[in-house]
Amino acid sequence: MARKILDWYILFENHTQCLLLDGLLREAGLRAAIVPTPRALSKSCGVALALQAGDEDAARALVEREKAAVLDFACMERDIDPRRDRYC
Amino acid sequence: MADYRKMWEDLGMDLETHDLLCEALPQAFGDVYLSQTNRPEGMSYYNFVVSEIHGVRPAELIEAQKKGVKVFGTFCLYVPDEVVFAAGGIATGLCGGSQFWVPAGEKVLPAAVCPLIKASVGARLNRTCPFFSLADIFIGETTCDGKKKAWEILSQDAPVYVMDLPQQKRAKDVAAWADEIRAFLAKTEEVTGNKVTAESLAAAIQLINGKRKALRRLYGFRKLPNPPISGKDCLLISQIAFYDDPTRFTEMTNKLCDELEQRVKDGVGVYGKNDKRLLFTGTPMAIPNWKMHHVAETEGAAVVGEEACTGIRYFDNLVDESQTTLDGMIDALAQRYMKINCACFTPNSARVDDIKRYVKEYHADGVVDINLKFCTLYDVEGYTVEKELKEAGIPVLGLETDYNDEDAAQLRTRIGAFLEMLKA
Amino acid sequence: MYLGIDMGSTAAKAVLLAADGREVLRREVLPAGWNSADTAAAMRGKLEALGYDLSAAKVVATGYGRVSIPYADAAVTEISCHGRGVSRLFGRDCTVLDIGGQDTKIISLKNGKVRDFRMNDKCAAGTGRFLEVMANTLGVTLEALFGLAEKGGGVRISSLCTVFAESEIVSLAGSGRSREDIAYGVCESIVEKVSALCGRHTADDIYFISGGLCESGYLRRRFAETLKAEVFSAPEARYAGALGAAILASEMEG
Repeated sequence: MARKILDWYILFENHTQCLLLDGLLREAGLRAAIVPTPRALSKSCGVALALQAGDEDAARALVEREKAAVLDFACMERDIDPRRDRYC
Repeated sequence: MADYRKMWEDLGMDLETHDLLCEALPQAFGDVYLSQTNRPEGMSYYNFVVSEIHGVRPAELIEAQKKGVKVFGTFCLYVPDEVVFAAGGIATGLCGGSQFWVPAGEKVLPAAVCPLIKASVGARLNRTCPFFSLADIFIGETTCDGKKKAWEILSQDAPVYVMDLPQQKRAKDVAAWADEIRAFLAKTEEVTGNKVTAESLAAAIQLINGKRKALRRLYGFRKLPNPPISGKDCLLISQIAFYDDPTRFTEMTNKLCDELEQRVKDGVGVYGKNDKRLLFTGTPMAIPNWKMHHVAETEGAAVVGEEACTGIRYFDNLVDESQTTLDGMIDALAQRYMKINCACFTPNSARVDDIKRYVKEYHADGVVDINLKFCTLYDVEGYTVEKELKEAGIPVLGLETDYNDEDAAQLRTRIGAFLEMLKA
Repeated sequence: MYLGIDMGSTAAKAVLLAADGREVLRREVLPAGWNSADTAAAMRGKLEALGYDLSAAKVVATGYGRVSIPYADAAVTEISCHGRGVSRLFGRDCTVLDIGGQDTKIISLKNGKVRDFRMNDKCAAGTGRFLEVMANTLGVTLEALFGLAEKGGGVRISSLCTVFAESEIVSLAGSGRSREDIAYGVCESIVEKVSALCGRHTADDIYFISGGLCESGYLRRRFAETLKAEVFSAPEARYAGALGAAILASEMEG
């Protein structure tokens, strides 16, 4: 059985906030991925940033320092299964 | 994407039903795309566009409409985007690739119609796609019987203009298509209130050629022995090409290609050593139809190309840019578009030549001929395609599918067996 | 030891090969349960109860439930396994007809290897499921269905769809057609559908029926007449998929 992995996400009110922070993280050498917001976390904005494991504290510090607009930091168990074969 | 609720409401959309689609997307996208390791960073842009699929771009289109710009919804590769942009309009590809819209389409269409048509009509009628809700006019074409009749049904709900596509490729057919483009040009002028000039058409030809060149550059990486990007990522980019802003799309795709160039230099690839290279051929895979690529690439295949509308056919030939008169440009457009080899033509032997050529160029180990259920044209042509490929010593597997998830296990068995056969 | 296990949609089959990879120690069949993993565990339990120590056995799984067998070392598709199994059983190049519960496969073998294959479209027409549903509707077993068909004639089931065909035979029965005639129509339907699939397939001189329908002499004869070719089979052909899997297990490295 696969080990349970926790993923950290940064949620936003709109995509502009998301793109802004993505740029800032990149400049700081943190590589986050722009992903569709998992529905379990939020329904507010379509995009979220998925952080790499262990980056959450550095990302938090950066958000505070830059006073970047975010909705929340949230984490959830990874729910990605390439053999689920449920499409949309 | 709830931050767009107001916009969707203003479009008269059915928010409750639409929310079911919004709910399904993140998980499906995660399983198919985010499960990949070692993706190029530049895919972030396309992740963004998909995540905001019913948000950012529709909002841009609505902003443009507020300034008087008209949005033309199109369904086929033969409809020349150049003319729409030259008239100051915006063309946006509209094909529906989700089962989500099929039941609504079946309310007005027979069940034995291809899912692409059912989903496209359904998306308009059940008001769950902002693109279908906001388009000022729909441009149909006469590629197949199902579509021809579907336009009549769609036109009961929205303005529809239909281009009459020839069914053969003689000189007089190319001339007839040039005439159709002229008539379409007049229509775009009428809808937009703008005049198409030699200057504006030349600029639009460059714009769309630019998009084709970027895609051509992207697909070039798939020909390499160790492709730096997956087939399903390329499919996603091809799908987005249909509706994204062309200038931005070209810029972002070229940027991604710069990254891919570096990856090639660094020897970074996304496939395993034993993965077999497959060329897909057949019917279109409209967004968010990712099933076949995903099944193949999780069974140990590298999908290195698609001889399909969502694939090589979309960008394969450029429009001649040396023409200076409006008439000359229209003829150049007709010539370029009539080089697309769709199964709606008879005979269509050039398609088999294309497939054989792509097998060589993309170094494919085998071909998978994929047919959307109830597409008579591609289904019938499949016999000849498979026969000729086998005669040329190219392994080929024919598959039929639709937008349902239920056949995934059977597809895995067929593709898996084909890969085992290629490896044996 | 090498274990091949074929998790089909109607039955689970297993073949256990000795260390030489040739001697068949045991063949087993169990009805497919609701859950492939449970059926696989039951199969393992059954073999172990017979005294076989499977702790060091290499295991290859095939069939539609192949990915849900926790103790398998590898999963290989039915096509490769049936090809391999028939090649061992029959020893000649041929076209394999496997009318499975969910999928019908036409596999052409050349030099013992799968050269090409074709399968039914995704619906149940032309598969074992079709026969099973029709036998149920007639209230007989599959073997009895073939027995009845041999004595019948004159009925054609025109519906390609299993669901429609089912109501078609109900109305045939209502109109007074004998069970023999209806059974004949059902068998003809499958022979026609599968032969059509072969017809689009590269023609081969001889055919071999593997899988669950291998023991019906009637079907074999009707296929031979329709395909105008020799059609072979063997009682062990039911286990061809599992045998192929066991052979592949014996060839695994490490």
